[in-house]
This record gives sequence, structure tokens and C-alpha cells, in this order.
Amino acid sequence: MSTHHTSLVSFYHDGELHRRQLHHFEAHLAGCPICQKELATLRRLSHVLEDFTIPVGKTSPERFSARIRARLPARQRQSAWRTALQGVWQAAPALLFGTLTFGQAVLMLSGAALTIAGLSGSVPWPRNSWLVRLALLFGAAIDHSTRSLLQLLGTLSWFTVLELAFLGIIGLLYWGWLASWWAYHRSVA
Amino acid sequence: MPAPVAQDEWRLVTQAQRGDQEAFGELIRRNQEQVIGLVYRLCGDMELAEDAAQEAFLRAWQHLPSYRPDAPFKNWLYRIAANIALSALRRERAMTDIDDLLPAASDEEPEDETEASERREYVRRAVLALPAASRAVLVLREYEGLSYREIAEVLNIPIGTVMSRLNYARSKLRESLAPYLQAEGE
Repeated sequence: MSTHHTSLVSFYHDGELHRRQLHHFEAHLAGCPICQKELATLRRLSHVLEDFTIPVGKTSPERFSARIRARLPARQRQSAWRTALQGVWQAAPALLFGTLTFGQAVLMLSGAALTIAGLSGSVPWPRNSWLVRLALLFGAAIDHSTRSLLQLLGTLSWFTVLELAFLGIIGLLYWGWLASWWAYHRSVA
Repeated sequence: MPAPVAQDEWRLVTQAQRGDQEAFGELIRRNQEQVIGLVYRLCGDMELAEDAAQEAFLRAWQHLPSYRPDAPFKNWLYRIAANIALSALRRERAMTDIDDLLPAASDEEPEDETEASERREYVRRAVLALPAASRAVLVLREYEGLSYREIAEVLNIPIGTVMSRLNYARSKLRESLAPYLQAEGE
């Protein structure tokens, strides 16, 4: 049946085929008795399903509407600070992106300025920094790769650590916003 | 104003979003029949359908400020109503047998009427016998006329799942409704 596009028959019946697909399928359908039969069955099924009718409800439409309206809680006018907070929340991704761009620019410029002034940000932390000493202290307890990582971190410049921390905080805030957005939309649905 | 929502409806929605209960009452009046119909076809019990539809409208009122017109208002209501109906169904299933929901057939109806009534009952049973997830897709497609994409949005499932559930529901119905399908074909 694969050559007879069974799924396309369903798509055609449901009005899901567009332009070229529709033309191709109609051309195929005109000469294919198997697809014609399949389509006729789907149409019969839709017709038979019309027999699942809706009985008259116990509540009249007017009463139904009135009952809901009687239960509607008055919507409190949103306070100004809440509106502002909502605005900030909605604009959070743009604000975070702006902060990231601004922060990166500041770090880049200050890095260049420090280099020119001879106070290069690439000056590493003192040898045997606390991270390196920690790695040496627990050298026996931690595996080789962790020790290497700690030693590497210990040799990073304070400027790089600042940059990493900045990126980390922005990333954390963005993921936090994304999680709250997801939770909010789940609750609405 | 975005295209999916009609001008008139969008005006009512924005008024209701500002707390206008009259406008929301008009939205209820316009959509109640379809929402009750959807829930009834999902759960098969009119009383349950009316309760769930009421709940759906109340929840819609609460969340109305967050509604954005990127989808028709009716579909947004369907989404809320379908969630409530499917949750209610999960709770009810533990307590109620689907057969308990079926009305007893009357012996006093004329022959033609009895036959038509039996057929309606048969079709109703066949649809209600489908798994809830497939039934929801079938009802939204066959009775509410939603596209695959709209069904995916209402039920919050991938479009591929819509297609597979619809195919499953139809193949099951082709088996269970075979006598009527053959009769129609003759």
C-alpha cells in the first residue's frame, strides 16, 4: 500500500495538503482505485461519526452563562509596581543580552587599558595559589584529571576568572528566566 | 490586530482582559456550546461536561490577561477545557465504568427511531471506547475541524503524535464501526 500513499489519503481528507502536493496527489488519485477506495472509507467514517450528537444540556445557555458570571472573581486592578515587574520580566532576555554585550565591551576595553598601562590582566595569580595548594593538599584523594583542572584554574588570571564569573551569572539568570517562563506557560495551559 | 482573532472577538477579549464581565459573558455565550460539546465528546457525560466547561471558563477568566491573540480564542479555550476534561476523566475512570454513563434504550420508540437511536448509541460507545489521548485528537479533528497544527497546539503535543493518534483512532473505529461503514458503502 506504500505506493498508494495511505497517509496522503488522510492528509487529503483532512485538508492538510497544499499546492504542489495537492496537485500531485489529485493526479494520482484520479487513476488509483485503491486510494479512491481508501478516501471513500474515510469519508464514510466521518459521515458515520456525525451520529455522535450532543444531547440537550440540563442547563439552559442563559443559566449556564449566568452561573459562571456569578462565580467570576472581580479582577483586581494591577498595581503599578506589579505592572513594572511584569514588564521587566517580559523584557528580561533583551536586558540580559544588553548586559552581556555591555559587560563584554567593558571587560575588553579595560583589558586593553590594563595591558597598555603595564598592569596586564593576563598576570596570573601567584604561583601556588589557593587552588593549586588545594590540589596539592588533596592530591592523593582526587584523581589526576580533577587535579589538572584545579591546577589549570589556579593559573588563570584574575581577569579571566572575572570574565568567566560574569558569563556564568548571565547564563544562570537566563536559564532561571527560561525556567520561570516555561513554568508560567504550563500553569496557564 | 493579529489575524487569528476576529476584530469583534478581539474587542471583547481586550475588554474582558480589563475586567469587563459583560464582555466575558458575551464570550461565554458565543463559545459555550462548542466547549460543552468538546468536553461531552471527550467524557461522554453531559453533567460532567457542563461542570468541566464551567471550570474551563472560570480558569479562562483567571488567565485571560496572559492570553495573546497568536491563536484563535476558541482554540485557547479548547486547550483549557481539554486539559480539565482529560484530568477529570483520569479521576472518574477510577470510579465510573463507561457503561454506567450510557442511557438505557427505550422499548417504546418507533422502529425507525429505535434503529437511528441504536446507531447513535453504537457510534457513541465506539468513540468513547478509544483511549482518551487518541479520542481527544479525533474529536478535535472530526467534530471541531481543527488542523493538525492547531490540534498539536491545543493538546501541547508534537504534530507527528497528532497524526499517529488520529490514524490509530480511525483504524480502531473502522473495525468497531465496520457494520455501519459497510452499510453506508452499499
